[in-house]
Amino acid sequence: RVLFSLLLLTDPLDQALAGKDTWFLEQTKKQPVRRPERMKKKPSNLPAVEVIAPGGSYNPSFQSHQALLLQAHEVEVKRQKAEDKLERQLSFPTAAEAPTQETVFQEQCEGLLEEESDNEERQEGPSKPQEEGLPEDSASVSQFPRMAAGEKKTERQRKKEKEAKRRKAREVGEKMARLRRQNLFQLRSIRLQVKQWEAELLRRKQLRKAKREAEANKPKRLGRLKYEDADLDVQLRTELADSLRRLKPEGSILKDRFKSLQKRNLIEPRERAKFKRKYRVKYVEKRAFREIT
Amino acid sequence: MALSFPRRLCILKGIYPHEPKHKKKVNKGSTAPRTFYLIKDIKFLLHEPIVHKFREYKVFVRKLRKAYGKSEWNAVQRLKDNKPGYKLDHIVKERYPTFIDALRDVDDALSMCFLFATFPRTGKCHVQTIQLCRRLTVEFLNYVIASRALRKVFLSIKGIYYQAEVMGQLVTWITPYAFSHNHPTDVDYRVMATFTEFYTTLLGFVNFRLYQSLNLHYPPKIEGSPSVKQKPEEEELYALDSESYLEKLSALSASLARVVAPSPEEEEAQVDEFPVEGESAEEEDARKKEQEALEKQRKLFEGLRFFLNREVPREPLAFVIRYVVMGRCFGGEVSWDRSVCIGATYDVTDPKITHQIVDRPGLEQQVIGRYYLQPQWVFDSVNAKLCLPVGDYFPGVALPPHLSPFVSEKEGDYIPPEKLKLLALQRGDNPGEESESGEEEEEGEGATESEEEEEEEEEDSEKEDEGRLKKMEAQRSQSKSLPVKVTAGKVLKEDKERLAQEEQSEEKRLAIMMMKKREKYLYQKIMFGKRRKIREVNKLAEKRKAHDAAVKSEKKKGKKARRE
Repeated sequence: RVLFSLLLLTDPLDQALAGKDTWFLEQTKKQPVRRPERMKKKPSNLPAVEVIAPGGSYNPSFQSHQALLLQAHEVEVKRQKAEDKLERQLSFPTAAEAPTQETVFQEQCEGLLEEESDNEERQEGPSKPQEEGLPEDSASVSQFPRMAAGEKKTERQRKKEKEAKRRKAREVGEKMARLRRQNLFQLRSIRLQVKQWEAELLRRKQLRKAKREAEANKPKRLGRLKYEDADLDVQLRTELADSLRRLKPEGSILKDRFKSLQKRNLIEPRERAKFKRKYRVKYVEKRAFREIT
Repeated sequence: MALSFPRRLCILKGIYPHEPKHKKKVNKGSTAPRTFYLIKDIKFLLHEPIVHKFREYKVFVRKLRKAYGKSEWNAVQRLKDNKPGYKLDHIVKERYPTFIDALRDVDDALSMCFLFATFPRTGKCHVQTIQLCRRLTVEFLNYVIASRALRKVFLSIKGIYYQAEVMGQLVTWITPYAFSHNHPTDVDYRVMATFTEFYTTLLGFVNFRLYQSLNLHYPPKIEGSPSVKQKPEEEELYALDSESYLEKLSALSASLARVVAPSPEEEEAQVDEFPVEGESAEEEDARKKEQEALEKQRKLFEGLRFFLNREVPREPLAFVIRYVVMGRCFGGEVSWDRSVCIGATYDVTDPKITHQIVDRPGLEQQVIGRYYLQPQWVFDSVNAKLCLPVGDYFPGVALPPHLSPFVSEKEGDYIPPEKLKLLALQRGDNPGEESESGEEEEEGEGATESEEEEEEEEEDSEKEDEGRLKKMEAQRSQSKSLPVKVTAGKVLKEDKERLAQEEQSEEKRLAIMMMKKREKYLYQKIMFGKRRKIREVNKLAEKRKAHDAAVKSEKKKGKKARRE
């Protein structure tokens, strides 16, 4: 255990203890509680500072700038799509699209009319098997007359059943033994099967591992809100400055840092608490104030 | 304790929320998302001595409120004088048992401190914090200058990214441009302040240790102070006595005093080389090359004297130039307008200035014997590890794009022509004098590109390979049948190369033949992917050509219009 840290933080009060036997120190000095091992692992493997894409240079090359713009465009298109969808779903139909009495009636009849036509078609087809099926059922019922509930079995019946059961178990056992003996000759194919199975297991294991690794870098769900990526900081071709002096910085680094902390699972995403008053405000003019006015 | 305290304590102690595997089990059967911490972590928190301090603080606030309510001003004063405080030293010690651990986490600390240092002192957070951040960052910059650890600089639209190699660890941080603040509303300032509180403590320790490793005084002392003392009236113009020290330090112009005076031999001494076991010759070569490049980068601006005009961002430029210049030649090799900052060592009129950094279109009077350059030249030169040709960076000239040094192209990736040119420069061959006539350059670029494309295509299309192989075989058979009259040396040489090639391609072919069906399928897939990548690269290159052509034609049109 490292008692005296390599950071050279030693307390002047601890100078007397420096270089003493560990046993002595352990017995005489109160130890701070040890930090659990699991806390040494960072909650995410993402780098602390993610460098912006080359298109984010203040004077980018044409290609990289286009690439960054395309990325931002894709994000925007996705967002637009979601918005459009919501609007489409929530919009009230216009007079032309609104349901009339006729359409309402049609809608109500929708299933019924179809069923009738369907039934007519179907009746010709599956009628035969149904007819065949029915007598079979009745025959099976007649062969083994089912006993009414509560009616007692006779001694003979009981014995017979027992015997049948025993016989069946024996047969099964014999069959299993036979099969086992047979398996001896199938060793090769079995080995192949085992191999295949193991390969399959390995594949699954790797798949799981890859998935876990991919998920390790994803922001976890740590609170009520989901983590959302910040908007990409982009300047259009017309906005780009022609010299360093005229550069207008884009985005906020503070927000960037905050989002980075959230992305690395160090803090949970939160929104600002809304101010909510518990009671209505009551206005009272104090006497001192009233006297002045 | 109030709710805000545990949150702060968790941040300070490095305890982060946890996503449970089975939400239902921990949340009393409900699957509603909530924030969870591990119970053991929270129990561990309770051992923290700071908890008592927080309790004391709570009591203090209560007493203060009471005193205010009763208008007992004496009591208020007394309480305020005895405000309980706490230190985070032991937490730093606990969280980072070794120094390397701390260095790995210093990215965050640096970015945050640089950010907070630029905040206006208007009450968004404590002024002391801002000042502390400023001091720590300036100290760190001074360390980077002294240790010559800077590797990359990137001017982006967000801020400036730096990368330095500190004790073998790559440390990346971002600094905002000066005066670029709009305070976002959706950021929790309290959380950020708590992080900063911890990071300032961490950075303080890291700075201390780093200064110690270089035998420098900590807190830093400026070398050659008597010369500065000569003109105290001038200093008073800039800063109060209490602030002048930090200002001087932040000017980044003075070198720092060492605990032990450095002997010249010591610096010249070669580092012994220890071959690392299990390292192949190639790796070693690569390492050596890297070291050479570094050495080159360090000697980049040797013998040059810079002057920064008023309009250019002083701090980053001074930092980058000083970083390169520092070393054997102590004494400022960079200076600036006296009205910008303290510590200007020479004036604009100094005849020894070789480069003046300018960022304004119209220059009234130009001095002969010095280059007037735009600031991008400095950054590009540092990234390229060589002094770039000055022609592209004169004021008023359209600058070449500022490429990101953080991108490293893999084999077969699209490389923009600017980067190709840069790589060629780094290799040492000058692809045509950097003249203004763009056509020549373009032709050169086009040629190199087309050559490369050819090479790549040759490499990757196997059919062509096989075709070539057949041809070669045919040629060989022909040559065998022919009477030998050619000079032997040449033929042998060619044959060797060809044989090696043939052998390689033959081996490749055989290897492909030997592949299992599954592997072959995979191989073909990979090859297909490579070919597709090349196709895309070619497409991009063509696009770029078209774009350049369009730009040029526009320019020509513009020129014509102007002539008319």
